[in-house]
Amino acid sequence: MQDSTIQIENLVKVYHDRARGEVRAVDDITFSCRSGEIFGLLGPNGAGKTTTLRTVSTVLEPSSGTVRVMGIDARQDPVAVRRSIGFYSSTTALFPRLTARETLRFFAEVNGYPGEVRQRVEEVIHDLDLGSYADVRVDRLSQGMRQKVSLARTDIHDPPVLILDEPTTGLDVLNAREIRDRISILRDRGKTVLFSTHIMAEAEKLCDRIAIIHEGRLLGTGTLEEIRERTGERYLEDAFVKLLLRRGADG
Amino acid sequence: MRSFLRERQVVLFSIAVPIVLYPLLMWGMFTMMSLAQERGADLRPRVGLVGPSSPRDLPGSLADLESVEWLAVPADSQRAAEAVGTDSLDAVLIVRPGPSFEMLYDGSGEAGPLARRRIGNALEDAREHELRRRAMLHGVSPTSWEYFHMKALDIASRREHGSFMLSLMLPVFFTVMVAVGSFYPAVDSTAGDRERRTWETLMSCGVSRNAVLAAKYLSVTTLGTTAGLLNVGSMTLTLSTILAPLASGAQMPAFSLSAGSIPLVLLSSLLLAAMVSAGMMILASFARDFREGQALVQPFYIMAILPALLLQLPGLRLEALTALIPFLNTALLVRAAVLGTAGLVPTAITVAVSATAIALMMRAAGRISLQEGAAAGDMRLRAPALLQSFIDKRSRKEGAHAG
Repeated sequence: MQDSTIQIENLVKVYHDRARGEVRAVDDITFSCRSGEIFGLLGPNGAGKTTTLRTVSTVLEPSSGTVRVMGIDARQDPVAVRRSIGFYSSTTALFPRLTARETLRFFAEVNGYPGEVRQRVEEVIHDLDLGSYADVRVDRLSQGMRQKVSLARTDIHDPPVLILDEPTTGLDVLNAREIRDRISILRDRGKTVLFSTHIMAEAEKLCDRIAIIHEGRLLGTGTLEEIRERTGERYLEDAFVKLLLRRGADG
Repeated sequence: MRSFLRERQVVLFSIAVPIVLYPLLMWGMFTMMSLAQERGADLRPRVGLVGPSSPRDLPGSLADLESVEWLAVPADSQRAAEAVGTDSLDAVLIVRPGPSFEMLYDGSGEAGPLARRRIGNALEDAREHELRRRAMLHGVSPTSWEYFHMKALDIASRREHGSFMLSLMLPVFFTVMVAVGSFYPAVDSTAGDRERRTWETLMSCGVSRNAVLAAKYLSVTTLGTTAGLLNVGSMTLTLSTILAPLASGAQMPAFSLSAGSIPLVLLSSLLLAAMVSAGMMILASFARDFREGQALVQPFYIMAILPALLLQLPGLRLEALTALIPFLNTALLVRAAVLGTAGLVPTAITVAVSATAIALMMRAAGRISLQEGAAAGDMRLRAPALLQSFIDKRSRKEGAHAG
């Protein structure tokens, strides 16, 4: 736990729904992410992945439990936590009336990038090959282009931690692959990536460690090899089902 | 701000409308007035004459009156009156010995009152003429006949005339324009961000949420103030350029603001825009999309412009008591600035009251921003929650989304 950049302990998130009453969207989850790894949160839709990531990014407040990012308690100093992270989710869209370059510049400044902002923006534009549409308004970009600009926006202030909620959703194979490659590069540069997906193959390809989550509860955590070993299944999908059945049998 | 300035509706309502509205309104108004005048001049009311056999027998200039059409009618005044009622005549002039005149007219249309006015004026002329003639016969000179002579002289300067006319119109349009100029940016920066899903992008940035809200608030206030100032400039310019050609020969009012009034107009614009923006943003922050935001802000918009409509009440001016009423005080301050009558105490009260209202609303906005639903974009407007935000220091509500 010493070199953990993200530490989540006994995280519970309860909300009240008029139709369903009290809903435990996240139910006593504990895991940690290390520096320079891609940690995948794997689970079906409605498992609690997005709620977990929104809580880590301080958009939501934990009902109980603790969230620490770079050793900072999210409840005590949410601004410092937000400064250390880049958060992408389907709920964090880009400003449609700004160009890609203006977007990057704006978010670098708002997030307090310590260096030369203009230089950093050009660097990221070059890095992600955004040059051909850097001066096009976001509302005129394709979905794949927007997703790349979103990823650039998340990383523009060079945070040590990236929280990416299903970043390949809605993308074609090539664009999804490009985003995954980019996430790998960011990991290789020493960043911690907390990444959620419901696509088993994506988790297999990309993640160093995986946490399987279902109905707000953690079913298992470990490297792909450890999960395979624990379940005796070669494919992650089969391992997921086995863990689910085991959980059901345990009550 | 850059994003705002690329939104068509914001540019339209915060910049274009305040600039072009007055030239268009003035052009429309004076075109209508000219048309009405032309139409009035062409209109010849049909008047039946009871008594004399011909209009030539009528006294003085009435005999030569061509702006009415004299028609022969039955000699019976009862039947002549019935003819007016059935629209075949606009009026009937009954001449009785003496002479005495009685006029029946249809007051429900344009032609009847016009006939009454034209014939009435001609009769007044005839009476004056006849009285002078008789006075002369009795050896009374025109000077003695007049008894006294009254000369009325308007001593107000052209600028004072212009200021008075501006003070009647400017505060009302100014208030409306500031409200309109703030309306779209306020809704766009809150409910619009929710609809576009950019709200959470900002709320997950490495700055305090109050700082994000303050930046949005300053942008909205800037646009509201700009709309107000553009409105003042456009209105002053429009009145001086459109009214000037119409007033040739007469004393032309000078529509210009004195140097001393400009800081006060600027102050009013800032105070009003700051109040309106704060209120609108608080309400719109409860909306999930632009349309819902508009619906929530609309009653506040009406509340903000309503006091300005009271300005037409005679005798209403900026004084200690009226300066206590938010929205009305800023409109009255504009009027006082234009007239050059703004006193120090009412101005200070206006600033204090407006600043207090702004501070209260900012406090509420800050409290609301602490609530989880404000960041997550799923807060609902309920009166107790809004009230609580004004009084409760740590009002936090849950409103999470399942993932």
